[in-house]
Amino acid sequence: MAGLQVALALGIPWLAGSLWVRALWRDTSAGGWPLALGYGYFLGLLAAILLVRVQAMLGGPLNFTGPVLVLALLGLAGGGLAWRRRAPSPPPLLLQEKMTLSRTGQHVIFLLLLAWLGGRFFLLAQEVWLRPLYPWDAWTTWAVRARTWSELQQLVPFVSPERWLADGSGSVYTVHAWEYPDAVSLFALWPALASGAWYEPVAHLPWLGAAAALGLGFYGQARLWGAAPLTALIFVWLLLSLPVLDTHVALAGYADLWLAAVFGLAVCALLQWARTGDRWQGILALLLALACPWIKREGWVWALLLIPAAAAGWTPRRYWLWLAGGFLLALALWFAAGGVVFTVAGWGEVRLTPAVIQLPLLGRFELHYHDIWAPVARNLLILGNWHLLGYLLLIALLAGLPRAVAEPWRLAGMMVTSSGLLMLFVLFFLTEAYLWAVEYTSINRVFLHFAPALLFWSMTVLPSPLMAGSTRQEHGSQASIGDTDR
Amino acid sequence: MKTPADPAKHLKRFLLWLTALTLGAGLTVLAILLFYRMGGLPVVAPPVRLTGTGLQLASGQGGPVPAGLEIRQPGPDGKAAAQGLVERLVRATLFRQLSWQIEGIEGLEPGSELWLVWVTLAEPGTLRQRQLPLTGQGTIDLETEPHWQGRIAAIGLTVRGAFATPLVVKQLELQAAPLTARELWGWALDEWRAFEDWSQRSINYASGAPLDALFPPVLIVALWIGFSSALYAALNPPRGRPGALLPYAALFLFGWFLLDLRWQWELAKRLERTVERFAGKEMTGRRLADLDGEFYRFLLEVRRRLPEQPVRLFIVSNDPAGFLAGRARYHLLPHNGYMGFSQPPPPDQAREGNYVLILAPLPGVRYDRQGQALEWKNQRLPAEIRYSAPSGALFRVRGD
Repeated sequence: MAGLQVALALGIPWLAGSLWVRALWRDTSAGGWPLALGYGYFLGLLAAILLVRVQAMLGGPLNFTGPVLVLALLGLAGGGLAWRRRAPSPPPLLLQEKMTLSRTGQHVIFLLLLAWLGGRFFLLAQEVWLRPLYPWDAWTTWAVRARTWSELQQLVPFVSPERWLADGSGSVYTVHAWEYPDAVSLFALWPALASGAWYEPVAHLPWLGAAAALGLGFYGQARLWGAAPLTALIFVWLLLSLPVLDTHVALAGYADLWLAAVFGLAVCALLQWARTGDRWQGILALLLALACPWIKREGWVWALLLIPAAAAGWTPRRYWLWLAGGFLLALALWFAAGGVVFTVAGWGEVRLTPAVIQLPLLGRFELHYHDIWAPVARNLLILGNWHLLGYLLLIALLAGLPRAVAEPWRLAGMMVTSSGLLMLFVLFFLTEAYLWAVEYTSINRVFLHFAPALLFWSMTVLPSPLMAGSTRQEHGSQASIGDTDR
Repeated sequence: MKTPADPAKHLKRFLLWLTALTLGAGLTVLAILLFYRMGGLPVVAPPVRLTGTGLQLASGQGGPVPAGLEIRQPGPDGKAAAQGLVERLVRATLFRQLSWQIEGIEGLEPGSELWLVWVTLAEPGTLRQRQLPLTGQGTIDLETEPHWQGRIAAIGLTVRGAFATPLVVKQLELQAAPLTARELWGWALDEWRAFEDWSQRSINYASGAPLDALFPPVLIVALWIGFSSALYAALNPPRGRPGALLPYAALFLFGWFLLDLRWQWELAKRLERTVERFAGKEMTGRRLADLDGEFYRFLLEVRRRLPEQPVRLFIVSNDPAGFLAGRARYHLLPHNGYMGFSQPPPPDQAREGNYVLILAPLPGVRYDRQGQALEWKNQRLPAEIRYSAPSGALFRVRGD
């Protein structure tokens, strides 16, 4: 019975989310279902934990029944919408990659790769199922809250240690990172509510689903971009074979996998929106970007990084020079004025000066240069964390830069990439967080947030090696996957 | 546009690709061999140097001076010892050349002895030693020393005998011994086959080989693919025809696959260990088989002494933010644990009915059985003892 309830708790939000996303994309021929299943998982699960909170806020019991019923109804509505919208399929907007390999060759490699990925998932699933809660932050923060709520059947508040000490009633709890957002704890709580008791393997099943959904969403977006099935699956394999990502599935319990998946899929949708103007992609990007801060405090920064890219995609090409000029002028004025300091009501002081960055929720960072190229290079290019992703990124930058302003999506992609890399540079080279790189503590976890987005962007700018006839050949260059004739 | 399907052309391209891959492998081996044989070893494995600030006096009297660590006289046991931590925990089989510099050795009385002492990571409680020639400076190769194994955690020098003038230990240095081509190959194979189980560090990085490997797989594969790509370009210059980049992509994906194959092997071996430890057990059995199993057993006993309803629980430990305190808090949920104290909570914060779990060892805190109170630094908390074991003790706070 508990198994069925867990299956319902995980399956119904996934199905509801997928049907709604599919309803919006039912006309596309390539990648529609994988995209729906990928994005649907995250949107459905986010909706589920939101409903858990709303139910608790309204004084209802802490259980999964109410949210599952609501989501089942929503799923039916989404399914009905998908079924009834029978508009004829428009011609594909983006030309599809044609491959030099024979169809049989493609199928064989596709199936082999799928089997390889299936084997990897089977292995990771066994780790999730057998190993008791293992990684540090999970049993000091995320799972402490989830287990407490699960066992008490109540969303008791977690407060600062000072407040806990002052409050002798025992009605409030504390952890060191008490102010961290609660979505990750709620992800673990959700299946535990369905199973009726705190059981770690069940609580961590959503992590396994997150990896699968990330792969599906990535595959769907790659197909929608115009990549051939094999190319799309190869990139999914590159993504899901990353050792740091696999580790965060096997040793489930951290927030980083969620932020990587949600931010990565937001970037995929943003680039699609910048390329096609598809408003539903824009909405997907917005929804997932808004979810980032709910997953981790750093999610604010990642979400804000999408704004320059969105601005580039939004602004007509004739205003790009004005946009760049305005940005440079603002930068010069900011520097000349010694930075800006202002207060956001209810949040606190924001201080952005050449010497200090201070942001509410994130903290204060004194800026000094730290020469940490060696540990950064070791982690990205020498150790086994990322296979050859660091090298692929260098190739993609070389391939992407010359045509960075050729089209809005290229500029948007370059903006996301460069602003993300710049943010990582500021964090690790200019603040005290340089120790995270020197001691190999957080550098890879923070880079993991960016990895799916970087891989998708790389796919969009790398010349398609498998392309038999590109849709637009230019002298001295080869078209990227799915380049358009616009 | 249709792709020209000429099998002979395809075969030729494939053979060229294979040739480039093979020659690329040869070039990679050659480049690495040249690098290490022409003096690259100290770049990858720099010497460990312990000077005055890195050395501490373990026996005898003295202190740091600008030239090193000065030892003015031996300890009561007739020994003077200077020791230092090897922060990088170097591998003994590679770092086997030891050199030392001591000033004033000529002032030692006849019959005195100079010994090298060391501790390995695997046996932190066992001090190993070996006699050195009684000279002010020297170098020896520790290849034949049977206990010079594993990873070296600390090294030092011990002088046995009286001395009239102070000794100054100026420097103790471990250097990587030059390796022959055969030894290098052996090292490469060992490193690629090195297995590391899940650890608390795993969530932060996956080194893919020993962290200080001479042949990190990612770098080796990147070199191989780079050389092979350059060779393929030389053998078959790209002319912008459709599919011209396919061989390069295939090389890149081949390299990625090799790395993924190794990662799959590592994951499979880790899973083997996981299955051995946890499969077929209920959750309690799994926790008992986990890295803190014995501690968990203690916490099960603690839990039996706690009420059914969650209570406020102060977890006191000499490392309040450490592993055991955190695990205790998690394992005792939903009891309302707080792990911020390294001493019992003061009476104004712990109220009657609250519980205090003291994790051993906690020096400076004692329990007065007669007066039923915890005592420390002129402070007192009335509490009755509920459970006591070598790992710690549980108390219930009483009213005054």
